[in-house]
Amino acid sequence: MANVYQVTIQLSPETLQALQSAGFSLLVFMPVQATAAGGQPVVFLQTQSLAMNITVEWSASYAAYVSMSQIAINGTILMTSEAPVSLGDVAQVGQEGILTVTGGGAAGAISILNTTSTPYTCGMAMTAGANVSPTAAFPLYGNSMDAIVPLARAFFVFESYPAAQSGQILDRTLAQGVLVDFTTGLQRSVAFDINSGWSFGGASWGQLIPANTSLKELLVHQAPIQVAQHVEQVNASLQS
Amino acid sequence: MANSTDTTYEVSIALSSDTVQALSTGGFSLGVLKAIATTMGGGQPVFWLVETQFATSMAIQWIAKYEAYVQVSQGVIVQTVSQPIDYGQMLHVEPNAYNLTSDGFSDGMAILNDTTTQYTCGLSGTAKSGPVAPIAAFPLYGKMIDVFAPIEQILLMFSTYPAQPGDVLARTYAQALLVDMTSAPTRTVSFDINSGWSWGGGPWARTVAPNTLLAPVLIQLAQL
Repeated sequence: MANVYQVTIQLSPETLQALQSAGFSLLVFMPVQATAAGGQPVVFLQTQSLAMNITVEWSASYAAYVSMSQIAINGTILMTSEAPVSLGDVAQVGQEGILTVTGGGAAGAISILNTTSTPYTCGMAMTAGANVSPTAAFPLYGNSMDAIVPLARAFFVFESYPAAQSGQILDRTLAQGVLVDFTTGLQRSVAFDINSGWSFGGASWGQLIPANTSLKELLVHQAPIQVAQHVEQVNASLQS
Repeated sequence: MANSTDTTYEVSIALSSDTVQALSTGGFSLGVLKAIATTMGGGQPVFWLVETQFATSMAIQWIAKYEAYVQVSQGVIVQTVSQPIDYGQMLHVEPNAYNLTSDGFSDGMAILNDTTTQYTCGLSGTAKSGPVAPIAAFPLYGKMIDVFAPIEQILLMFSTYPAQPGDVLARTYAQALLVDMTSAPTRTVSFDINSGWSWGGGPWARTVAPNTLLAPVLIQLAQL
């Protein structure tokens, strides 16, 4: 049974009024780690349905996707095909972008293996409500593989950036946001004030992120896949 | 007894300028891994060399001189000892001392753990472009011997995988090329960003598909 994450956001009537009258949206992003370079985060969820208590809920059920969309700031990723996957699976990309899912991939990761010589954009998508939406977009070269590791974190920001939509790649934050960690709990409560920003009782699971923060640096981490076994990484500076 | 020689090995890689451009702007590196034979299971190959500068003609060169390395982590401190070693020699790991003797295995380079502490160990190889660097990482359990023999085969992989020398690489992330040097110490191959590897089709090289586990490709269990 996949974990269900839930964040409740409380707004005062004055903040709600200000957000609604200026056309603010709540944007939600999902940080990921991947072996690939050149990735960009993508708006996972965007809503203008604001209320004094907003509950955002999603489950840790993953899908692999490929797309013909270019990775560009302000561009939108439209998934060409997607398939449900579990951690440790490999989604093989065949002709026409058709995905075939098998096991045998790196543990703890979702691997996307391009068996063609056509380059694609790829990534991991997650389910929120009725929608499966991408979390980030990575280049997938011909005859190559990207491995993506979901992180138990989510990033929330209210922005009035015109027409920001789910699936869109944005460059930087235009307002203070909050990065929420779910390692020690799947349900979190936060509050937002139009002027003083986010608050969460000073809990260690929350981190304030200032405006003008690069979303790529915040949300997409390129890292190798750690091989979990007794063999240690060998230090490169090997001198007797 | 097997003899090491002072042979210099070289693999030349030819790239078009378009490929050099694509590799340079795309965040690629050339990861080089080396094969090894051993008596101890459970090991993993590591990135031996990582090249991040590209040119239309690149060369990977090394000499057939090896060191035995032994490493132990104590919290955040990683202590490593490295000792030149040849066939027939054995590095004894004792509490607070390391001794090299000549009563080893004639076809291998051995490391004997005389303690009850678990170590990581292996052979390091001498590439001309950089320091002596580990080839693979193996468990060295208490009171056990690991025996190794170098194999003159290298795996070349251009990819955007974040490669660091010494990091374990469990599987390929792009199409790689396994080059065997045992019949000739000099080989020439080509790589194109779109069409991949070419080498004239001889039996001394073969491609390795992405998502291939590398321990079976690069680590040969052998009775040394």
